[in-house]
Amino acid sequence: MIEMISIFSSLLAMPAVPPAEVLSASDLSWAGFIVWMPLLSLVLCGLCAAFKVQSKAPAIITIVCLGTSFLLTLLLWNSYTQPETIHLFDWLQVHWDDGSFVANFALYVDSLTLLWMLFVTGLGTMIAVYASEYMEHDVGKGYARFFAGISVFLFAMTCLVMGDNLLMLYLGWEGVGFASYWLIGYFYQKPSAVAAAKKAFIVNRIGDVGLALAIYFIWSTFGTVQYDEITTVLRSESYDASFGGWTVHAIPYLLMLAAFGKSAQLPLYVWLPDAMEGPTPVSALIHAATMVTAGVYLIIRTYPLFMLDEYALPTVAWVGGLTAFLAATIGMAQYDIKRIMAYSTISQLGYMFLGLGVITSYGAAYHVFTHAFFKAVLFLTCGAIMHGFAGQLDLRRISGLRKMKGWKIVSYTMLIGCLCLAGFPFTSGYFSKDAILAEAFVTQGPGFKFLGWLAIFTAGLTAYYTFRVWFRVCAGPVHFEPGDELHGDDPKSFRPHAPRFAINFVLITISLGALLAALPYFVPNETETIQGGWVAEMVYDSPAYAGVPQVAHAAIDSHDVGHGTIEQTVGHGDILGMDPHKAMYYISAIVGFIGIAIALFFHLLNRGAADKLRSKLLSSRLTRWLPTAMENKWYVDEVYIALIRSPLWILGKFFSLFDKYIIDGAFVNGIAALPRAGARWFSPLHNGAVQSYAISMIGGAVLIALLMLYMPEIVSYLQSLSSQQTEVEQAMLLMGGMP
Amino acid sequence: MTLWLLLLIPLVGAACIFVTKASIAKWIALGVSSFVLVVSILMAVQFDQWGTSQTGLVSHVAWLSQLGVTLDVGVDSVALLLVLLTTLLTPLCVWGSFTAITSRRKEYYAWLLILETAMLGVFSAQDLILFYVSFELTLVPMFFLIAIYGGKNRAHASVKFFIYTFTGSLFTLAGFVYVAWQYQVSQYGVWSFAIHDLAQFASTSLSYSEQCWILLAMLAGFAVKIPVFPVHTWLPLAHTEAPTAGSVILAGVLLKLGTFGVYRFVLPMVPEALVAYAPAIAVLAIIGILYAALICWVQDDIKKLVAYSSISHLGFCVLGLVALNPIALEGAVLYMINHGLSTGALFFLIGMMYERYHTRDMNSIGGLAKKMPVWSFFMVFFVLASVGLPGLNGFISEFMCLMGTFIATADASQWPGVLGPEYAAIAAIGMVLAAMYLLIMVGKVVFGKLKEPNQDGALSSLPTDLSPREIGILVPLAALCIWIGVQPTVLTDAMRGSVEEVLAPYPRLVQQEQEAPSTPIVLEKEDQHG
Amino acid sequence: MADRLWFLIPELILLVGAITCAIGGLVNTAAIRRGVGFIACAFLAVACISIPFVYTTEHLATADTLLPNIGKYVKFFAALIGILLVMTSGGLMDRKYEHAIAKGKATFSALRTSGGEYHALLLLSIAGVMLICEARDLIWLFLALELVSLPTYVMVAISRWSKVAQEAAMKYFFLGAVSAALMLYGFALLYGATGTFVFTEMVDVFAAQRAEGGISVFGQIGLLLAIFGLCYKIAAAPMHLYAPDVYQGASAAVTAFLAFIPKTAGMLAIIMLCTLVGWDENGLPPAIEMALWVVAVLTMLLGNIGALLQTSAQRMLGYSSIAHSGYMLIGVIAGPPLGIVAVLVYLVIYGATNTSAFATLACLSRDGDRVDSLEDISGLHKRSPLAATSLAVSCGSLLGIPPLFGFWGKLLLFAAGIAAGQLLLVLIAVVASAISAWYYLRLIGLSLLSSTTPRSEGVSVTLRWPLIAAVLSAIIAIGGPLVLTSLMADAEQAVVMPEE
Repeated sequence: MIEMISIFSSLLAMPAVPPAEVLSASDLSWAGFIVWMPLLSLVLCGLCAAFKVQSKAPAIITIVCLGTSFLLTLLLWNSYTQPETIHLFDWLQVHWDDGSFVANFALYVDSLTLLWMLFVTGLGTMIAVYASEYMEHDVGKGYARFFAGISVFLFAMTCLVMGDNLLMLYLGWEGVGFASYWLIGYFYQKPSAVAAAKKAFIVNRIGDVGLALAIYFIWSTFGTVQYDEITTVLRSESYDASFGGWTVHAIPYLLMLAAFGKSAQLPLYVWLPDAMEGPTPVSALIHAATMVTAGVYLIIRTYPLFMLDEYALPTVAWVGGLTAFLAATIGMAQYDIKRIMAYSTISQLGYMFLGLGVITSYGAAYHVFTHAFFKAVLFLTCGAIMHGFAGQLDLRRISGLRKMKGWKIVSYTMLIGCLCLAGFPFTSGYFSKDAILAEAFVTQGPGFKFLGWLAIFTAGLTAYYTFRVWFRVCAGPVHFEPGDELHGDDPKSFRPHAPRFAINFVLITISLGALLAALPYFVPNETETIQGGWVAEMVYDSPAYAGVPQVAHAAIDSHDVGHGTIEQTVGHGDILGMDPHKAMYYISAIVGFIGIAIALFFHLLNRGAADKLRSKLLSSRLTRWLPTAMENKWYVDEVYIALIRSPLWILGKFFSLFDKYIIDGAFVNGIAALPRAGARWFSPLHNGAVQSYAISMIGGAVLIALLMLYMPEIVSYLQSLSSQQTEVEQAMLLMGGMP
Repeated sequence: MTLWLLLLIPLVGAACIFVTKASIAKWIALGVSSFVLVVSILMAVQFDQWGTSQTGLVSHVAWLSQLGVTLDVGVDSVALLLVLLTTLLTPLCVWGSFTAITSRRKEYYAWLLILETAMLGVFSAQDLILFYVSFELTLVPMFFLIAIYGGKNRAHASVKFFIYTFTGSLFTLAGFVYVAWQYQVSQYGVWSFAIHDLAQFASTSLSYSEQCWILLAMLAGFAVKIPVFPVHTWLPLAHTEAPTAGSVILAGVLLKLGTFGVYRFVLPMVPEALVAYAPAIAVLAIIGILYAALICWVQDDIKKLVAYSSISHLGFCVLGLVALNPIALEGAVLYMINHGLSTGALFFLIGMMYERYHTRDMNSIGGLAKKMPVWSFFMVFFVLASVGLPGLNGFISEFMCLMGTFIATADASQWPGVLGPEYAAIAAIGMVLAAMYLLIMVGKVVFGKLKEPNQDGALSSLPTDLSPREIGILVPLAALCIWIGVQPTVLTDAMRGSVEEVLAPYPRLVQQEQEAPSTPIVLEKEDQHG
Repeated sequence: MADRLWFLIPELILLVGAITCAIGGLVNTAAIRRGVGFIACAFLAVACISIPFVYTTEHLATADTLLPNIGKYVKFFAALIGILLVMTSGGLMDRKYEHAIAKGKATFSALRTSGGEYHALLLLSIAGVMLICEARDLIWLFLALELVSLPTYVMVAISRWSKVAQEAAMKYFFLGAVSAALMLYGFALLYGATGTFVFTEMVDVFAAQRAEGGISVFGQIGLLLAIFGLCYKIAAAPMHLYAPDVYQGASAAVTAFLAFIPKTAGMLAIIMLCTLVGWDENGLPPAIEMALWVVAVLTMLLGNIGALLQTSAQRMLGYSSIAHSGYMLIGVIAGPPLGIVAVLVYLVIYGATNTSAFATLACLSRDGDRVDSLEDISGLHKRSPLAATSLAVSCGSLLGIPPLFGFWGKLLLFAAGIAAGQLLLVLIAVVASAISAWYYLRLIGLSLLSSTTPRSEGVSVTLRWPLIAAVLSAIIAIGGPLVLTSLMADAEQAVVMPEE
């Protein structure tokens, strides 16, 4: 078991890496091609689109480029010794007398970057291979557009992960959001797809605002947005607990807003289920494996900043734990397998945030890593099914897949994915999830124990809904109905299109990866002080974490009942009297089995029972709300519409009318109408009669002349009047009488 | 003399157009405006004062010596950038009007060229009166462009546009003359309208209440032009009725005259007053950002939507202008350029759509991606630039403006300001709303099921998708959007010296203000006979 | 005395011209009759040319008027714009009659023509303006003013076939008499207050009074009444009421004349009267200043507001002419040197551009009838781009759109006003200018933008000379700023007081 706390203490003793060394990296400039290759792919795909290429060329281009990126990442990992900055070009630099804002287009390579990049580029390549077959019906139409979108995404994601400053992260952050918009809206003639794409972008934008504000706060507090420099400031002598005033306390919450938006956590998760409108490879790549983990990445990257506020990490933990639970309950009640996977993704992301909140960035990162593989597998199998059954995704309408010809690989790779997701013992998901669950009991914090139990319960739910899918779709008697995307096939004589080489190859490769992802847990790492295998090393070797002993120290010193302390004897919690790390092996295995067993009963052995149970729940007035609410996703979308969207829209309508009738109508046109009104007022003066003109003229002249002549007298008289009045008033006031 | 040359070439071109046939007017206009573009680029290349605060390309021309009015021209780096924006957009506008304008062509192109001269005059004037003359002169061509070539409601729109902005700027003129008079008093009777002299004089010698009045007078002209809530209502009307090129110029350059005015006059001339009024201006800007954004959301008319979005966007620019630190001010100047590029391009795109379908109603048109993929590509591209997608131009300036606003707190060590995080945070909501209304617009018009309005007969001889000419108009703009998005430092470095000089007195003043806050509103009237 | 006669050479030239015109108009030869306009122009040109020779330094040294140099400036430009005014009325007089004679349908009768007397009266009136410059006492001033006014009464009435014109002439005459009476009463009081008619002596008396604490009440009342009387000439409130009716009733050429010549005369006279009391560091004496202030404000606002609702182009321009008097009063209030310079410059600018507007109207006709309704000029650009553009340019100049000539005039006035501390007054002027944008834009829009209506279809340019005048003055409105510096220099020289 990883002894988090001891690592913490050992880090305290570790000498920090001086930034001067970090910046000496001329020999790694080729690493820039990791970023440039997807961009090249984008340009080439764009050209393909412009010249209406009618072949699979875009796919090949993309695969080659992304593959190169992956190989380069491997090379980089191989030659990695210490964190380095690779400067590509100056992006935004504002200097003045004694200050500056510098955000270069530069890469920051440390172990954390590499960990992320390995699965981003690796899975990206594999999914591109998968898509080359999956999207083939669109060759010559949207094919190039699709792969251009994938390239944009990979480009943005590499910027996000590899950037050496927060602004580059922001570039990637919005970039992946945009790529997501692009790809979700791939079927742009489908209104639901367009709406989903829009929703994804806008909800992400809310998070982006948080990130932007966080960057402002960080820059105004630390004077820099480069990770290593922030670390330097935090590490410097001048740092103390009161550093930066109140602003530092705002930083983690704004970062959270960003992370929750991107990673689909409460309350900003609503876009992710809708995002399933995109082609399935997109869901696998963006909305399961890579982009949605950007929030986790952000928090790990800025972990020291989360130590600056007492309640920041507990908030993360609570949001993560609740999201995990809530999404799991919704997932249980859905019928669309892709949506189930989407909710499971939200739920698993919740676990990751729970892990972050209870100070196991290692556990979170490891879960990201394993989840990327097994969720990719699950999505890709869903995609294969959807592809083969003309868009059919309803788990009630497909059954016994593993017995059909050509669908064996799909069925069993799906099983592997399900096992991992359910946390079946000795799969990768089992280890990574346990690391998080255990830590919830280890670390002391507000309600962490409750969260731990909730997470364990959720793990059971996860096992249940995961295998609900598998037992329904892959096991049982053979039965299927085609979906509605027949492309001219006759629904009666419909035969499923079994996946061919590319899809099967990718499924096998990734599911192998999902299985092998358990191995790093056992791989011994080079640094002896760190336990927990290779992934742990990758996380803890990042200066973002290792370089801030003083922050951690301050965060810990500043409050006594915080999130764990250095001293093992004080802080290390327990579960039922046992060491959580050990206990979790058994508990989670048992919970998982129970979940699978229930699924087995309801969805394979006795399929009618599930419907009976549902109708029973529905028939009772007391329990009716439960299935209804679960099936309707707890009405979060509706709440959003009622509380935010509609009021704003009504406000917009009101403003629009206000603008037209009040500002323009009353205010502007009203003022403009004054002269005309005046003209009407004065026009009787010009009545055409000489005698009245003469009287007006002479009268007016005399009046003005008299007025002017006696002006001083009039003025002084008026003044005397007003002064008399005030005297009278004062007298009355003195008498205490009437006003 | 180069600048005068630049100013006169379009006028000569306009004169040439009057004596030629209508059919070649457009080619003359295109040739002349392209030539001006080339000249201005050469000027920019030769310009030695990039990055410094100095004024280059100065030429002195004596004029009304009795009043100290001169025709001095010259540009500093900021002005030159805006000159380049103008000279870029004008040939594009000319080129973009080739098929749209079929009647009264000679006048049209002549007015466009005169408008170019006027706009260049605003940016290059070194004399207040020359500035004012150019500033007002822009109204006349624009008035005719709207009134002759505009939509159904053009008469009302053009008159409203003219009178609204004319009225506002008359107050500005009065303010200018007041400053000049005070200068004359201090100089024992020697008048001068030289911007530099007056700015220096006004910022140091005028009393606080005088500065406040002058600030208000200048805002009367500039705020209407920008436009700032609540004096913005002429803009949507003018935009909807204006022909495409008119809208492009209006959004691309004319609105920038207001912000440029703030930069050129308000900031250096009345620093004390500005420090006191900055929060109020910022609040108006923020109201404008949110208010206009929400109105955008419920618009059906696509052109009106983009027009309101200009109000919303320029709110950020104004915020950057009054944040009083270099990052915000550089962001604001960059914003002027970026908004000119991206919103200008959006108006071009809407014009191209309008030429084909003769509607701007988003409910009667939709799913054009199917029919016009190239148009749709550019539409999405420029919408993203407008939304502020990082990597494109809009992001940089928006980011800098908000960042500058954010750090403009009183306790900031380097550039204390009178705004702060709360202003930036509220304004940042505008980023979300911008994404919302623009994507809704894109979702309706570009995506979804193909929906075309009922066209009665062959309305347009244009190809279904964009012609090479139209693509040729959009490509330079798109290229610039990307270039600025990737290399903004080139521009921010170029304008640094000017920006810092403008801001030099502010840190001290903000500190003073902090120690002894002055009343921001002056209610007592000046003695009318004083 | 001989020295003073020397300065009257331009007037004498015009007098000879008037006689020549009057005779020429009665000649039996049609060519000569039609050439009367040219004769008038020629005399005006000669008067113009003579001025540099008249106002030489050595002669000026002998001058004993209050503002010895002002004549040079005023006479020159009065004559110059006079040429434009003559051109504006070119071909207008006796048009139908001459046409009938040419066709042989009518025979020439001296009693039925009016061309000769029209031009003679015109020249006389201009000579009256010139005479004002040489006034050295109140009596001269009064006589000169009447010389300006009396011919104009006849000129308004000279359109004998038009009942409107007759009515206008009646009103103009009666009300003019009332105002003259007012003015004369004022002059009398001034005499009472100072004991002299001679300007140079009055200046000393007033200076002495001011030094003692203020001008006597008699003096103040006298000045006020005199100024109000003069307000009639410049059509300033409250004496402006006649203006819309008269301007509408008279033919366009006459209105152009009315809007410039009497206004110049009145302005000059007001400047002279104000010079009598003088501007110290606080400006004019409070009562005078306040009165002028009120008059200026009322004039600007009533003029501009009144124009908004009009449907007759001439009446609209009449109101606009009222408003311009208001602007000019700002300069009078501001005082020398800048204020008076501004007024003098503005007079020239206004004269040139305003003439253009009326000349455009004068050149148009529908079936030989004069056009007046706004609708008549709708879509003018389709029938005569030149006329439409001239009208638009002159309206733009009157509105003060930079860089047209009118803008510079307004700039000078505003600058003078602000430099005199009259901020509120300038702000009101600003608002008034903004209001004026409405109706000027309406004229511009109608002429350049609107489409032809059935009514306006028959309207066309029938007279050549007014069109040329319109185009010429439009060119002045555009190109005028080029000579602004020297114009202003001349005006500055004009207000130089003689060294004591």
